[in-house]
Amino acid sequence: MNNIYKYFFIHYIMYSSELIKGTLKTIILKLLSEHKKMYGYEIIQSIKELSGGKIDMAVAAIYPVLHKLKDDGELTVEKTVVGDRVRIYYSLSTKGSSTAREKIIEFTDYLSTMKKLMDFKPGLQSIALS
Amino acid sequence: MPYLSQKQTEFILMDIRQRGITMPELEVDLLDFLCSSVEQEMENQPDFESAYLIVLKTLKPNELKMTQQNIRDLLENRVSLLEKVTYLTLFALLSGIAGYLLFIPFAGALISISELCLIGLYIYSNVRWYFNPDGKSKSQKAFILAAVFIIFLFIISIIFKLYHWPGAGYLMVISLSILIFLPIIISLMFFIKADKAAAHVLIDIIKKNHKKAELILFIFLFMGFCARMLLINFLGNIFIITTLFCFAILFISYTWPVFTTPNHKGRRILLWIVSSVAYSLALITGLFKIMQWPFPLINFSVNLPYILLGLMACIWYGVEASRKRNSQSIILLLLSLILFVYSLLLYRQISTFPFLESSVYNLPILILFVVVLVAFYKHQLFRVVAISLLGYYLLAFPYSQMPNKSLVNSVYANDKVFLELYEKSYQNPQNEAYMKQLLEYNENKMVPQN
Repeated sequence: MNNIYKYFFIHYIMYSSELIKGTLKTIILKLLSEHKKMYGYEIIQSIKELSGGKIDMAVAAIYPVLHKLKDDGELTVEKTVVGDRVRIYYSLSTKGSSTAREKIIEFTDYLSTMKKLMDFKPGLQSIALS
Repeated sequence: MPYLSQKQTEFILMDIRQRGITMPELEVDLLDFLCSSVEQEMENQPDFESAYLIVLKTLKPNELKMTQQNIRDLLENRVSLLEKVTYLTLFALLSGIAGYLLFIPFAGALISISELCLIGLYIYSNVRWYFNPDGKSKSQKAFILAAVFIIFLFIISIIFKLYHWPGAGYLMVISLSILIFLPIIISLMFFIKADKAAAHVLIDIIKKNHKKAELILFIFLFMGFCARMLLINFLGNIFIITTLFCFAILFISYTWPVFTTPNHKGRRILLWIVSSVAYSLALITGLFKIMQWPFPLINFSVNLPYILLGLMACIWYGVEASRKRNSQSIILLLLSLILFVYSLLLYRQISTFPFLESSVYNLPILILFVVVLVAFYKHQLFRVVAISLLGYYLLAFPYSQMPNKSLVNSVYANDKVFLELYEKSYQNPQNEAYMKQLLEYNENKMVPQN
């Protein structure tokens, strides 16, 4: 796992590795819960587009997570011939769908907590004022 | 958006492989990713080469290799419960064998139970895979069912054999025959259909675990060899059956690149045909030896697998040497030629060296065999064929203790009684009584009759 985080730290300097850490799985699960099936390139492009270009996922980050999710039984794969190559479509399994719901609820709750913490932090405000 | 041509796709695939990507699933993913990126880029830059270079520049150095490493780090750190149970069962099996050799009670039962557990684990993993909601094609499902059916036949035949129930031999022959021919038929079927979309899931699983499979193969081969040398027949047979099964799995997995690699397809198909013949021959002759069926040709074909291996090696390294023209491939070609010529000499019995009459004649060929095996180690397909042949050699070793048959036939042509006794001991090498009779007869003949 460390290699992935190191990689993130180097390539996504706009967000620290601490911020990205742990969110990639949720992002992928969220995307797949909104689409019936997606392939690797499509997922990378969607994240880039939805984040306004702020998150440009690297191949070395996305595919390991996809393969891990597949190995854990969260995702199912479907192979289709496109032109002269095979394309692997990833979609949520039954187990993956419930994991996605849990992860999204957990992450949304986490975001609202963080927002509260950032908005009402007298200690931090006093440090900033001084 | 324009689709890339077959040539351009193959070019990218070769580039991915040259960058050290060996995981088949990832290879498919990366090929699609790069092709999609290039197709996108070609909307602005119609030239393929320029578009591909631009896409490559967006990747970091060694990014593809790093992706593979990250996947390995993520997937291989976890030892599943199934794996733990498998290791435990293997441990139980080894303990049972050690106990059997040391005459500890219930060791035989432990061996049988752990053997059945191993087979059960295989069935369980197959059934679990069958019901796993992955997008599996009909042919894959059929393959799983066939594999489960064969293993089921195995269990039944082993139980029948252990308890000496009638029909055990037929069951074993049926299941072994399916094992011998099924891999070849399946790989041929995939070749005819050229079904690119057929998921390589099973092949990927085997490839991922091929090191473990090879290790198990070596352990079982060694134990089969020990059991046969110690004349423990049923144990030897169980090991041989498991070994054959491992061969079959490895054979499918190693011949798979023949159908997926577009380059050198002709050469690879030739190699597949030759190796299939070598594989079938080694297994069929091995089967005849194990079941002790009378078939005169089998007695002469002991060296035939070596000839085929030498021939395969000559073809392979002949092409390699002419292409690469380096000292390594030329040395390997020479070694292969020596193996081929030597085994041919033995087969035709042209050589008049004295050591041909005894079992020592196997020693030089074994040394050569090991040298060629080491040289071939990097080629997986050769490796499995070489291991099969080594296994065959080890399993057939007790039979090679007998004097050379054609030599005996020519020397003792007038002595019908001797020849009859010799034939009996040749057909039943594990029955010491025949050999004793033969030796006694020979000794009595030497005493002057007054």
